Amino acid sequence: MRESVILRGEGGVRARWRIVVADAHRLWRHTLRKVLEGFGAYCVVGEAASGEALLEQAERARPDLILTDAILPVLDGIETLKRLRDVVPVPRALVLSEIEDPEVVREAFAAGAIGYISKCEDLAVLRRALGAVCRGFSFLSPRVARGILEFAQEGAVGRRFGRKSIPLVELELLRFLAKGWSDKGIAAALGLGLEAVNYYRLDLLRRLSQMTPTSNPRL
Amino acid sequence: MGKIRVLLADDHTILRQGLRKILEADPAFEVVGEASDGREAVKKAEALKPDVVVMDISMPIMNGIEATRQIAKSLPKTKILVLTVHEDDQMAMEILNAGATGYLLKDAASEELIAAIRAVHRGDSYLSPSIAKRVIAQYLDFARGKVSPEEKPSDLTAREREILQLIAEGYSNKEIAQMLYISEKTVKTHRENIMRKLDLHSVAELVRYAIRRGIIQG
Repeated sequence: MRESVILRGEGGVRARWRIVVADAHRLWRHTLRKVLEGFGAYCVVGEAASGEALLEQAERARPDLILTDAILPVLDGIETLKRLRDVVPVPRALVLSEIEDPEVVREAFAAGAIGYISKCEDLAVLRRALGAVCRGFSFLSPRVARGILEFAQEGAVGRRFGRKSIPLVELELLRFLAKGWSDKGIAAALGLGLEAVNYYRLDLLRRLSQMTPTSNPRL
Repeated sequence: MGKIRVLLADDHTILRQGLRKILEADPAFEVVGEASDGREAVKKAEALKPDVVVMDISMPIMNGIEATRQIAKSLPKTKILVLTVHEDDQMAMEILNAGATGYLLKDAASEELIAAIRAVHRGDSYLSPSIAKRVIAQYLDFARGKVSPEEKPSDLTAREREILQLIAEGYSNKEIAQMLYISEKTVKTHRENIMRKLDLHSVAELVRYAIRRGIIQG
């Protein structure tokens, strides 16, 4: 684990996760900075308005986490994630985007993201996502999970990616995620440990990210 | 003077809830409500009578242009500040024409949002600089009569525009009837009138029209 910012506050010494935020729109960046710092556990150490700026900021600030949109100007968010791996020891990346298309989600995970959250979720979901990803757990927000669930059950992909090729436990997991259940709740409902929930989610995302783009019926 | 009462309408909940925090950190503002689509914005505006509505354009069910039109009509004292990613003069002209008095791009700083809300609340207009330039150029084109016939505002009724978006979003007559509390037959009549007025002959043509006019996103 890289060094984190240590703050001496009323609660004694505590570490804050260092985050670089990337979004094309300044109001989004300002708002995320305000929100993240309001959560208490995070410190925004850089802002980027383009993919190129994100690479620079990541190299300079060496953050614990990158919070980025899937689409960025100049160099796209997903392409940037791929290149990041060459630039710095891979920081954890959480994608925050209005795009909920499973194909883009697939690309994001293939590029190295470990979490994906829709801009249409609420702040409580963002808080959960940050908590999970900073601790090294994967994350899928309910709306994104819902998209993947529909995708997995659709026509040709359903046959390829769907019921037959997804173990039942992972399909169950996806259903719970789509309903917005927490990992703890899912673990209890499925009679699993938290680590197992994380394992199955990663395995599911691995299946998704290994799919070839041509297996998407929309292409 | 009392607080400026604000309604926030944006389908990006994280931004909406974050903006609420930013505005409420300033004692001059009170966020009285939030809406995640245009229909909800119209309903909440009518119930809460805010001083200012901060309105996104691209929203599901009913877009911000239509919601602006309806709020401006029923609540003439409520000011509408558009907050959008669209750096598009056609769209700016259309929503200003619908009754908005401010047009701010999401690339603005949070301080600029606060300044813009104050400005429209005072009764002034507020345009992001890059949009002001385009709107003026567009206005001059209008003034010189250089507007292509296709881009003239259509003569659809408010109800027809509402239904046009829902059809373009893929809802069936039955679903639209349930959403608007009208009969399926009425929806069918509206649908026929829309097609006739716009001279469209298929749903595909209708979707293309809706994308071109910014009614839905492509």
